[in-house]
Amino acid sequence: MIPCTRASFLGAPLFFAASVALAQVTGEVPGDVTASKTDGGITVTSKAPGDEFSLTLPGSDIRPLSPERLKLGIDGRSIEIVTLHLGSDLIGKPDATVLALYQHSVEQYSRRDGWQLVPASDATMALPDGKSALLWRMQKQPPDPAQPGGLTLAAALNRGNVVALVGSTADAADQPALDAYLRAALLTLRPEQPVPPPAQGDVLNAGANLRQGLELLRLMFGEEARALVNRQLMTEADNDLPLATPVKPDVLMLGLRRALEDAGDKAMVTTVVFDGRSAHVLNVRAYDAKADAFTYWDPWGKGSFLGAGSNAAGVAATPHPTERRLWIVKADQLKRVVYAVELEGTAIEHVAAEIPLGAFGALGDTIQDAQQTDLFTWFHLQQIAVSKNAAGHPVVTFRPTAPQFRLLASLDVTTDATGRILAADLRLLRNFIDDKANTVFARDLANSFLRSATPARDMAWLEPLANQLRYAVQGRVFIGNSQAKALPEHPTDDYLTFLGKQPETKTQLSLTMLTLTNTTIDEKPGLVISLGTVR
Amino acid sequence: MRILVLALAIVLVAAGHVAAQPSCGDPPRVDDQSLKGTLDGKAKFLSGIIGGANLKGELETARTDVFSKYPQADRTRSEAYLEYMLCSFVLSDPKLSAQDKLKAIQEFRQQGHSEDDHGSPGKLAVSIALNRNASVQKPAASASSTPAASAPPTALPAEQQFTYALTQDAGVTRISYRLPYLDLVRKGGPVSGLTYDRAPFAGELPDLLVTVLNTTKHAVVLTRALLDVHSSKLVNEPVPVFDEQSQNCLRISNQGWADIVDPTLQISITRDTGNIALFASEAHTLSPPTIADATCIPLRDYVPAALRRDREVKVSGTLGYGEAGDRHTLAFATHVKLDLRAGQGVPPDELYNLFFKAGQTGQVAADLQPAQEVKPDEAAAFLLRVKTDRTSQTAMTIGFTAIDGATINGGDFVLDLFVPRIEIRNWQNAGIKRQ
Repeated sequence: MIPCTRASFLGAPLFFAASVALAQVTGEVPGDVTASKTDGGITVTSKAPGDEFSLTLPGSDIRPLSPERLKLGIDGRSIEIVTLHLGSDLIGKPDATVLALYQHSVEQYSRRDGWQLVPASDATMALPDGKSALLWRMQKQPPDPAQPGGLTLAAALNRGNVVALVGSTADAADQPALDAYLRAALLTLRPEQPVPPPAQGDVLNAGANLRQGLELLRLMFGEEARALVNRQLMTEADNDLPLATPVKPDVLMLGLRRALEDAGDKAMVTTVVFDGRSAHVLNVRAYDAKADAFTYWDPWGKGSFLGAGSNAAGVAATPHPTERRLWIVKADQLKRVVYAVELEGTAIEHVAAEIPLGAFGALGDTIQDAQQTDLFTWFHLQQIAVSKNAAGHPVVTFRPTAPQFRLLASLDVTTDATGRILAADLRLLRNFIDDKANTVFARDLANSFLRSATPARDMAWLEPLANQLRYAVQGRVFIGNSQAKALPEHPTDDYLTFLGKQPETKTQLSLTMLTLTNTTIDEKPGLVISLGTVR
Repeated sequence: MRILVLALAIVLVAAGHVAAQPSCGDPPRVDDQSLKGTLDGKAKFLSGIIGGANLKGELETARTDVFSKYPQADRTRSEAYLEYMLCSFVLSDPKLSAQDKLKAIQEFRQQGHSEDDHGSPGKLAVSIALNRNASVQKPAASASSTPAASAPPTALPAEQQFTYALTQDAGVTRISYRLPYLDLVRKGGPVSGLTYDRAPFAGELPDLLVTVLNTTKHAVVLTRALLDVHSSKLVNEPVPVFDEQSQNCLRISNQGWADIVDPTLQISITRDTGNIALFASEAHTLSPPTIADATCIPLRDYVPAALRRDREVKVSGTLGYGEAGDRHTLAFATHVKLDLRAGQGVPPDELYNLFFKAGQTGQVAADLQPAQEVKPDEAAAFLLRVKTDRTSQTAMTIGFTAIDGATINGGDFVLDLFVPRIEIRNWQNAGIKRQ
């Protein structure tokens, strides 16, 4: 063991920062890790399903270096533990082959940052269980004065994963000792027993998160449900959920009222409440504007989660005077605990039509907002007409100013009486889409429209179509592998509709309905790409 | 009786030291006006012979007269009233000096109570101690169904249970609580997040064991207990509690009776890797508003990016609170779930007891009374309390039968139950049939 000198320790932070880029291409942070102290160091144990292992790291001065990577400063050296899940095509191949591929992969991805393999630094070794391990060095080219010692990687296989130690030292003279350290540490690698899955009862009692709740609605009603979620309380997982739109509590309450109005007597809006300790699901049935209170049904056998004394938020709902299992809660009290409102697809469109929720993404809420965006400025969209639709709502028509495209494309924006956008329809003539020279522009306009007129979360549904519009151009040669990878294995229905091979497709987005329709435009074959709420 | 003796003693001390107008306290209530008049007369008479040699005999005669005439009279209260009136007459006698008044009352007290203390008729001796045994045996709960409210409290760790102890300090008997968690708070921690259902702390208020020894010749029926409260000071001390595994936010509740004023939180959020930290922490300082009851602080803005999809994180740090000049710091560590799951916590609405005899196999059935009706789209929760008569390890399948005869399997379990050998086993199991 190398003693930790003050000089080496002080030099460590700069050095460790420089090695971050390489470390991140070597693998991921092991999941579910814990550590326990041993006589001469620590044992790190990972209980990640399918990658359970333990590894002992000797050392006297051990401290974490990163909040996000499993990177430790051990007696003046930096040691990171990473794992990398193997692709299915590598399972069953000899250890030496897999490790050589891993080494190659690390070298490839780190080369752009100046890292190179140190010639003749490879060393293979056998682990106690007979499996082989590989150890090699990497250095910066040209040499980096801040990192004279380079890196040593020691990798072995555990179940379907590579487990690697990435070591670095600020002192070049310490490199042989670092190699020996990593070699010794890797020899302690042991597969751990898999953790049994939770018992069925535990799963049943664990409750459902928002994603699971929406999936349940989909299974029950056969239609994808959407949610408005309280942005002040939402979890990161719910923020990531394309099906859920984060809104302020005021908007959430308004959305709930609109959804109830929309559904009328048969209203049953699934609403998640959270009192700071527990979350619960209610079915809200009605809103009484005079009393400013909601009536809801509680699935509890007796009482209600929102009844006085049953929640930690101090909400005191009261039993309905005549209807069993129904409760009444004042709006201001419900607002304190409302977490999410789950709505069927059409209901969310109605809500989005009446409340500004950002349904049209970058286009904003009004035509004035939209005219400031790249879609309008890049394509020089100019207002040419204003009409009214069947509901009496204004429809403003724009066309590109460029003469060669002016008659090939148009954009209709429908607003309500206050000027708030309710729908946007891009019209493209078929001869524009199919023209060998101009198809690139038609696709670009369609793609720009889809990206500009939808919130970012809608990319969860739009990405395949957007990629096909961009990359699946006949005769186009892919420059990078990533472009080919971005394409789905088979053309999607909406793309086939774009190509004119299907009459129509509909896709429910987070707040709007996307419809692609092959129709006639000005008595010519054309395609309408619509994004709409209730127009 | 003893209370009155003490009250009079206080009067005497006050008269002797302060030389202000002493008081005889409030008159004991005597509703029988006739008895009251008789007692007034006897007191007036006795006050006139204080200092005389025959006081003791006259006092006894007066008592005999009164209680033969009013055999149903409340003896204790009547005597207290007699003493009160006597005291009043003496204190209002303008012919007596303060010193004489003091002497006269002392003399009366000595004469009047000598027989209670030493006399042959016997005495009532009361002792009060802290009851250290289990709570008073209550009637056995209904065998088949008990409201959930009377179910035993969820077992909490010893740190969360408050207990009472009795101490003698400078002649004062003190009964005081002890809560290990509170001791930690007062020391500044570190405290861990607490797991609990509704209340983070459990314990029972002290039962005072009252023992009355009656060596008098007549039966005594105690009908009231009296607390003579001399002072009562509110303990205004905040008691911050951090929830363990709160959902999506750091929940701090205040279990004390003063607000957590001007709180400042220094927190760091990491993966919990056991006793040894494997990930560096990022410190954040927050200043939430004063916490009266509880607050739940969303952590989304503070969770390191790499941890945002973890199921839970460890949150540790310090909570500073209190007015300037009286600041406290409490170190804490707890866990916060980053997932929010709804549907948990359907409260049990019934408790059903099931008893099986250890060492025997076979089926044991208990009627669910009242029956559990679970309507479509409804959830129900109830408790089964499975008991046996000996420490045993038992494998069983738990199932249910519906009214239409359908059976529902609840799963297989192995129950390791501990039953102390010396245990009261007289609880009833009505409605339980071995088949």
